[in-house]
Amino acid sequence: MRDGPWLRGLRDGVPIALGYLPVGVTFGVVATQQGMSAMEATLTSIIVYSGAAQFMLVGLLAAGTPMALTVGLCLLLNARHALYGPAIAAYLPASPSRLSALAFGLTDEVFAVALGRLPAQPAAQRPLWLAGVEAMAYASWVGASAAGALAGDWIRSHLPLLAESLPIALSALFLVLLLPHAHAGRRGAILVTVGVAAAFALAQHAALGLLLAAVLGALLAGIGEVRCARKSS
Amino acid sequence: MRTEILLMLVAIGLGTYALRALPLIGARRLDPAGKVFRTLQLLGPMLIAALLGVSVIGDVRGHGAGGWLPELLGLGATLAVQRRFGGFVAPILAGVAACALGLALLRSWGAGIG
Repeated sequence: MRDGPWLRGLRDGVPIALGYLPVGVTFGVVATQQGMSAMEATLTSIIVYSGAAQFMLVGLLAAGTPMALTVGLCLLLNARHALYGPAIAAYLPASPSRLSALAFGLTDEVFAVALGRLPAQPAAQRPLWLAGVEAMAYASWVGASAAGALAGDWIRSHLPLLAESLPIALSALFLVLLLPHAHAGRRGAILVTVGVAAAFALAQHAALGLLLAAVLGALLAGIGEVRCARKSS
Repeated sequence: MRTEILLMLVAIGLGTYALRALPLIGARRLDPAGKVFRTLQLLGPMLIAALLGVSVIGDVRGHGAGGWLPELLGLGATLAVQRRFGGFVAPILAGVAACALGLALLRSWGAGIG
């Protein structure tokens, strides 16, 4: 018997969960080391549900940054999320109420999976499939954060190699999702985008680099596609 | 639970949710033949490419000295398995396994040198 869209979504969310587990555990450990209680660390993952912003929040709290500035900086870091919805909206035939429910789980990784795999799902099943992906990702993130806050040191000392190698699951996921888009007209733009984003990340400006690299890449890809079209005509 | 922390979590959570929800709902009326839609079609894959670049640097930093080796082994294995067998989960698991192997190699070399 074929699985329904919800179950398929849960299964397609497994690679995200693999990547979230070690990062979530790390968040739980860091948050409690910086003075949050296990309850506060877990609630942060439940309410905020954005890895980069959560790590930034913990750092700013530890540094005694004023509340309004902390909130503003975390939201600035998350500004990139505003680009994700429009990029997948055309593949998601759903009412505004359903879309507003699905929007909560639209993280970096869920967006990447959705963009790559939504078009392959039957149109009517897409919202439920995406809900499955999001449920798997959210459960793993919240569960891992709680585990990290409660037992992070034990996990890292007893399963060190697994804890250190699992984060690559997210990079591998992005790579697999990128491959179908890497056709002749776009390869150069993709390489430039990866390189620029990596360079900004090396210089500790990952969020800014992500936005700039993506916009630059889109411009280059547009030019590349126009050239390809001219050559073939 | 401290009240000021809870207030901050709610403010960041609501703001992040608005950043995700409003553009998603607002974009429903985009014309698939229009310029905005075509631009977004270019922007989407480039966002994934940028996420890959940022993510790789985070991994390499996490692996410590010589961290490029397990990263390249892992992503190379992912690429090879994807090209050979296709699919989604198997290439990622292969990447994790190859990365673990690379880390074990790094540790054993480090122990040998030390």
